[in-house]
Amino acid sequence: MAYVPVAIVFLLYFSSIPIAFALFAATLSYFTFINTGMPVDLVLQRFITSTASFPLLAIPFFIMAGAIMNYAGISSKLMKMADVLTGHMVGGLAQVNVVLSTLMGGISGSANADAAMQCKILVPEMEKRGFNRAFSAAITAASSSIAPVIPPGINLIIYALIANVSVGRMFVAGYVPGLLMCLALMVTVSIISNKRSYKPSREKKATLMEVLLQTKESIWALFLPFGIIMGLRFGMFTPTEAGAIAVLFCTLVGFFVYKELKIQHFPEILKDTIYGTSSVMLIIVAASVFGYYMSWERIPQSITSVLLNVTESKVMMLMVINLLLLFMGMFLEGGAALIIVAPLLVPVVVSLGVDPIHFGIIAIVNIMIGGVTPPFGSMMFTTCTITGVPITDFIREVYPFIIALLVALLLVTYLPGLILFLPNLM
Amino acid sequence: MSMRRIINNLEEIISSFFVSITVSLVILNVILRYVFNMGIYWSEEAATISFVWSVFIGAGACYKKKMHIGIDLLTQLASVKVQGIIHLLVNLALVGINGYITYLSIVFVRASVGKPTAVLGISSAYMSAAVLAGFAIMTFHSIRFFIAGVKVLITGEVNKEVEEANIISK
Amino acid sequence: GGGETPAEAETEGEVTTEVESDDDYKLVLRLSHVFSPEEQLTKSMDLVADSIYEKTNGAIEIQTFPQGQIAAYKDGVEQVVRGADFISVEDPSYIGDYVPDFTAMVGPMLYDTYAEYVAMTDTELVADMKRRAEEKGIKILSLDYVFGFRNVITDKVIETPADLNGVRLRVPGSQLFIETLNAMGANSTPLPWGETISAMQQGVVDGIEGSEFTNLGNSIYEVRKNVALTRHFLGACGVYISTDVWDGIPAKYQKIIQDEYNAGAIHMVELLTEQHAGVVEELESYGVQFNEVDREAFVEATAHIYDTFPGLTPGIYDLLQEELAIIRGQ
Ligand code: NA
Ligand code: NA
Repeated sequence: MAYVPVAIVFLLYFSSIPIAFALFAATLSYFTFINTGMPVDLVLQRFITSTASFPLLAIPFFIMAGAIMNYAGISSKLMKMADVLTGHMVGGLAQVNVVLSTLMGGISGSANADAAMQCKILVPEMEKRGFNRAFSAAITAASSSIAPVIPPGINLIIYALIANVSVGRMFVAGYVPGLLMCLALMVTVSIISNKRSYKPSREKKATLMEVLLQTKESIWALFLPFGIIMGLRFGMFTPTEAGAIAVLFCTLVGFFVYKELKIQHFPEILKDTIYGTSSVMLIIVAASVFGYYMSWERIPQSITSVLLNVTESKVMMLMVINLLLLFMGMFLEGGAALIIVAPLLVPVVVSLGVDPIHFGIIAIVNIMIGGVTPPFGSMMFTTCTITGVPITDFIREVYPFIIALLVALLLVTYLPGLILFLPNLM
Repeated sequence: MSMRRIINNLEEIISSFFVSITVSLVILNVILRYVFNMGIYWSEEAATISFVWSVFIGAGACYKKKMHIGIDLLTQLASVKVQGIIHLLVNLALVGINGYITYLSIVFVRASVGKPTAVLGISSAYMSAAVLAGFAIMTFHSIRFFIAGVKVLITGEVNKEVEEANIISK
Repeated sequence: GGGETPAEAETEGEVTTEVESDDDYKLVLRLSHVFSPEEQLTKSMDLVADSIYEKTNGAIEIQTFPQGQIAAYKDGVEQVVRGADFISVEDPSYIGDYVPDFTAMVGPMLYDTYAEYVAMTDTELVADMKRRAEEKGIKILSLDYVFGFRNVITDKVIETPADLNGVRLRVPGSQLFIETLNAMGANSTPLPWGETISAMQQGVVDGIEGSEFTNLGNSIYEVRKNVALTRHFLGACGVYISTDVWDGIPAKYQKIIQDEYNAGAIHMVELLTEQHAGVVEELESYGVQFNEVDREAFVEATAHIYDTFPGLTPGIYDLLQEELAIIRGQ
C-alpha cells in the first residue's frame, strides 16, 4: 500500500494530467485512504511552507530580470557581442548560437526560454545562410542546456535549498561546467561545419578594436552577472536580494542607458514573470507535498539503502545515478525532475563522501541533457514546435551534440576539483 | 482598460500586483540597509506572504492558459474520437482534484485562523487563504474545460475543438 | 491509524481499552523535530522511542523524523492540536501561540542555570499553564529537554546594550527573538538558518546568537571569534501530544511513555551539563574568547517585553520572579 501513490503518479502523468496535479492527487489519496492518522487538510501546511520561503523569491526576481532584458535591448547587445567573438569561425552562426546561450546564461536561467528566444532570432537567420534547419534547431536545443548551469539559475537555487547548501557557493560552482559544455559544443559544431562546409557569418576575424568597441557597447549587459557575483562575494546582499537588485539594475539600464525600455512594457514583463514563476512554483509545491508522503513512509531511507546495496563504490554509484538522472530528464521537465529526485539522492551520495555542491552540478547538467534527449525532452519539444522541424530529423542532427554534452558530463562527474575550486575560494 | 479586459486578465493583474510588492519590499530593504544602516524587520515575512499570493493566483492564471507542464504524447497516439474521451476524463479528474483541494483549503483556513505568523503575529489565515483562492480559480477553469470537452463530444469532433479541451497546450 | 474523529476516541477510548486484550493494541506515532542527526536531542529522542517500543512490547511505536522532514515548528504543534497521531518536539514558545504564558516562561534573561529552569517547570505556576494547554488539546509530556544558553556571537566584544548598537544580528524568524534582540540593542535580522553562515562570512550580518553547541557543531568559530555570555534565552524543547490521542492510550502504556520522556530529559540535561565545559575548552582552543556582560543592564533593557508581548497574563513577570526567588532560596 505504501507505494500505491507512486503508481498513481505514473498513471495520471501518462494520461496527460499535468505533473503537479498528478503529484497532488497521489499524495491526497495517500492521506485520505491509506494513512488516516492525520486530518487530511493538514497537507495544506506543506503547500504554504514550501512556498513561503525567502530564498525562493529569487525565482521571480531572476525571471523578471530576464524579461526586462529582452525589452531593454540587452539581449540584442549580447547577440552582437557573440557575433564579434565567434562569427569568423567555421559554422559562424552556429558558434554564435552556442556563445549566445552561454552569455544569456549569465542573465537568465531558463533553458526553455533561451531555446524559444533563439528559435525566433537565430534559426531563420541560420537557414538563410545555408544551415540545414534541423541542424539549426538541434544546436539551439543543445546549447540552451548551458543557460541554467551558468549562474544565476533557478535550478541552482532550487537545488541549494533542497540540499541545504549555500546558494552563493552553488552559483559560483556553475561557471566552469557551463564553459565546459560551451567548449564541447563549439568543438562539435566546428567538426560538423568543416564536413558540411558551413560558412562563417563574418568575413574575417574581428580586430581587437572591434572587440573593444562592441564590449564597450555591451558593457552594461556584461556587467550584470559579474555585479551579482561581486555583490554576493563582498557581502552586499544575499542571493535573494541579488535577484531584486538585478531587477532594479536592468530597469535602470533599460530606461537610462539604452533607453529602449518603456513603462508600457511592464504589463508584459509582469505577465512573463508570473507565468514563469507560478508554473515552476506549482511543481515545487507539488513535489514538496509528494515528498511529505514519501517522508511519512520513510521512502527516501528505503531508496538510500537499496542504492547502497547496489554498490558502495563512489565511481560506480555516480555512474548509476547519472544513468538514472538521464532517464528522469527524458521524461520530466528539468526543474521538476530535480525537485523530485534530489532529496532522494543527496543523502546517498553524501554518505559516500561526494560534496553536495559537486553533486548538484552533476544533477543539473545531467537533467539538462535529458531535456534535449528524445522521447520527452522539453527543450526538444520547444525547438521542434517553434521551428516546425519533425522530431525524427531533429534526433538525427542532435545526437553528436548529446555525445559532446555527455563527455562534458563525464568530466564534471569524475573531476570534482574542476567544480569545487571556485566555490572553495569564497 | 475595458471592464472585459480586466476580467479576462484578473488573475494576471492580482498576481502581478503581489509580485510587484515582493520585489519592491526586498529592494527597499537592501537600500535601507546600506543608506540608513537599518532594516525593516518584517519585510521578509511581508514579502513572503505577498509571494505566496502571487504564486497561487498566478497558478490560476497558468491553468487558464494551460501552462502547467505535462505530456500528451501517449494520448496523441489515440484516434481523435478517443482523444476527445480522454480529455473529458482528464478534465473530470482535474475538477475532482482541484475541487477536493479547494474543499480542504476551506477546512484548513478555518482551522488556521487562530495561528499567528512568526514575525508579524497576524493570523496565518491571511496567508493560507491564498491556496483557497488559487484552487477555487483552478476548479472554476477545470469545470469550464470539462464543459468544453462535453460540447466537443456532442457537436461532433473537429481537431481544433479537441485541442480546446486538451489541458496540455501546444 | 487512530484519531479519525477525536470525539470518538474520547468517548470510546476507555471502553475499548478495557475490553480489548492489550496484545492487540498498536499505535504508530510520528515524532518530528528540527535538530540534525549529530545533535544530542536527536539521539535522546531516538533512545526514548526505542525504549518505549521495547517496554510496551511494540505496542507504542514512535517513528522519529529529524531536521523538520515532516511538520515542524508551528505546523508540528498544529498537528498536535488537530489530533493527528503525532508528537511535536519544539521550543515551549510555540505552545505560546495557544497559551501565551509559555512564551513568558522561556522569556529573556530569566535563568542563571539549567537547574533553575527545570525547577520552574515543576512549579504550581507552570502546572496551571499545562492544564490550560490541555484544554486547548495539547498534552505536555515534558518541558525539560534543555540544550543550552544562547549567547551573542560576534567579532566585537559586547558588554552592554550600547555595544550592540548598529550590530546586525541574525535571529530566527520569531516575534519573541526579534523583540528581545532589538531590546538588547541589536538590529535583529531574521534569516533562514541555511543562509546564515554565508551571510556571516560575507558580512550581510555581523553575528548570530546561539549556544556553544551550535557554535561548535556549525563551525561558527571559524568566522566569529567572540562570545558574550548574555545567556538571554535558555534553549529548551518540550514534548507535546494531542490530548485526544493521549486519552486513547491504555493507562499502563501512558505511564511507560511518561516515565521514559521524564528519564530522557534528566539524562540529556546531565549529559549536556557534563559536555558543556569540554565544548567551551574546544572553542577556546580555536581562539574563541568568552566574556561576561553587564547582565543587570540587559535584564533592564528587556524587562518591558513581558509587559508588551501580546497575550501574556498581566504580572506574569513578577509571578515568575517570585517562583525564581523561592527556587534560588532553596
Ligand atoms: Na543557443
Ligand atoms: Na543562468
